[in-house]
Amino acid sequence: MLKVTFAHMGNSYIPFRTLLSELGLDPVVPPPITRRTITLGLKLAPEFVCFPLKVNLGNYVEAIESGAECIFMAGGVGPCRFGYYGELQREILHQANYPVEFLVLEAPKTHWTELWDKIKRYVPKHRLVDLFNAARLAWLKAKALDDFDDLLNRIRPLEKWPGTTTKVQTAFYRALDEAGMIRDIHIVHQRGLEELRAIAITPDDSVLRIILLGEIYMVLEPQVNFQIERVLGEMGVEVSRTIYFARWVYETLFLSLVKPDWRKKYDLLAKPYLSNFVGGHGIETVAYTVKAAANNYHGVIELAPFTCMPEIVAMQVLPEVSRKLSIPVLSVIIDEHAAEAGVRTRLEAFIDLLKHRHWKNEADKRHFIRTG
Amino acid sequence: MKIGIPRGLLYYWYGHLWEEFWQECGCETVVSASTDHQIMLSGIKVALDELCLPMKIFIGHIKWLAPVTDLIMIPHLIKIEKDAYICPKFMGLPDLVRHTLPALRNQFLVVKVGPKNIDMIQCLRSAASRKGIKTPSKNNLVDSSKQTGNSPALTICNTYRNSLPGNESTLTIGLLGHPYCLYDAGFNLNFLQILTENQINFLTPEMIPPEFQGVGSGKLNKKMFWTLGRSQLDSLDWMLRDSGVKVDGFIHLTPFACGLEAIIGDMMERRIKAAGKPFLRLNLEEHSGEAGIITRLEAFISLLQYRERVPKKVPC
Repeated sequence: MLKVTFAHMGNSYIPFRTLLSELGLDPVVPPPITRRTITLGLKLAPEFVCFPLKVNLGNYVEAIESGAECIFMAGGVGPCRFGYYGELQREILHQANYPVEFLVLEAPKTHWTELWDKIKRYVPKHRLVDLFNAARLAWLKAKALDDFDDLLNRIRPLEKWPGTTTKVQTAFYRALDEAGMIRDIHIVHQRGLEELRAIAITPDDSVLRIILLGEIYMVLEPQVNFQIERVLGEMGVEVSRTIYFARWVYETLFLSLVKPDWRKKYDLLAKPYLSNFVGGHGIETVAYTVKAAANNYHGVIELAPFTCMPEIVAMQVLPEVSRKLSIPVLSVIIDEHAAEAGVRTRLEAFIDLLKHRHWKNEADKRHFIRTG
Repeated sequence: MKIGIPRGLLYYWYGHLWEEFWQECGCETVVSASTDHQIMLSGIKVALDELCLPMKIFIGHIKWLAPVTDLIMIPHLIKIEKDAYICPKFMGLPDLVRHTLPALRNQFLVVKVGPKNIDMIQCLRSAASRKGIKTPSKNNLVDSSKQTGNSPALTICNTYRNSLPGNESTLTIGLLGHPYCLYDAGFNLNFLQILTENQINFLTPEMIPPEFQGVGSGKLNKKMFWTLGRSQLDSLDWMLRDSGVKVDGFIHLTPFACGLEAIIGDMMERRIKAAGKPFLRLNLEEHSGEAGIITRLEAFISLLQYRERVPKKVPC
């Protein structure tokens, strides 16, 4: 069996593992990202390339060490650098004497069967139906993960005993990873949600609500963003992520086929501030900041890797959004030199500011009601 | 009406076209002064730290033009060729300058090129009509087919190369980088001047004959979707194989933390090393000092001279 690997991105390894093994391949999930992964990637990658590429390279090297022979990844057509990751990583790994094959899945140019032909080379015995079945299982898992994480982020700030939700989360991830049939997935999914709802909480009406947005990899991968969701949750802040893996796949793969103007809602929201497509998640970052202000969120945290071009354009625009719509925004830039303490300090300061602001607003409101 | 053209970014490719167009329209054109410390500082002051230095310099040029012109042209170049962007920052340029310099908003004359219509003259026309500037009939206008004969980039190249004392120069260096890095003396701290003073001949990407365009980038497995990447890979291939001059070494001038150059530079470095040529990369930013550049350049030149003298192949 061909040993296939892929890069980590948050919990996406769970659906990927299912997808590949259902297709009769042997998935080699890279070991969890550690300092060693990052160091391995740094050695190979160019200095100013974005951080996700460096971590990906580290993932690949560690996966090759555990026997991977082929790398599956997605492509793109720019202007964001992600579209050229595959080419650059192939050159880098081959030069560093890692004889590994690359399968870069590009958006088909002529007909969608082009994509299947490409995959077919690796799974000669399978039919298109098998791919759909495999994709269905993977999709269900991805969807379950999204649902679970969404609810989890709302419960974590209220938990009575710190760490309970994280424990439930770890158990859920493991159970879902092991589930093999559609029925199992449904059961694990439902049981996970029930377990979350059963966690002892201390209800609190004045909990701070913030939106976490920015570049997809930085938002989704807890090992590079210093587990920002957990840290914020434990500080008693309700985090709403704007990027969920299943939804992102649904939008980029499915919606762009059947409804090409699905991005319009983002374009319209961002238009007064950023009226041009800049690649990556630039427009979404601005659009969700506007949305956060409209929906009375208390703050916005933007995550971006160092030298990320789309996020830099958004970052230049965000102060104006923040001023005009009166929503505090914190931009956190992360690369291999970022340290947990540094990020944590900034988060704490930001949350303090939000708390004070919230408290003052409430006090003003009460004063207004009392005095008319 | 006075129209200001900032001497930054792709002015070095299209400056002559822009100037001619606006003059044909009966407008007076003012090109901002060459980048100096003052211009750079005024840009740095207002721009976001994360922006690259060429963008900050561009903003500095806009500020220089603001008091002396009625309108300032913002070239919003999304695409200048099919299937290739320039850079996300170019794509968001009008938004960038609008938010950095909110007071000058009404003075901006945005010329949007792409993503559908990539004909420079047609785009200039529609930008002019949007501002109520009359454009002359078609025949009078410059042809938009790429007449790079007298583009600012080549003019600068020729001035420096003409001042080289003919045969005495023995070394030729291939210069790689974006046009606004190679030709902006304020950005690269008079790099071309230093080269000519050391009697070193140089080739730049803009000197590539049209028949070699698309050759180097065509050798890639995947089509590159950045214009400035394509042009550099084309010219690298040309310099390595077909330029008719033996290129002794390569220097890559890049802005600090440039997103594209991180990828393109790495690919070029690999190709140059495979060809067995020495390679020097200079990252420039607002804190760069001339002395640092000179020291590294001198060391690089000594290396080239040594390789020239010693017939055996010196590893690089």
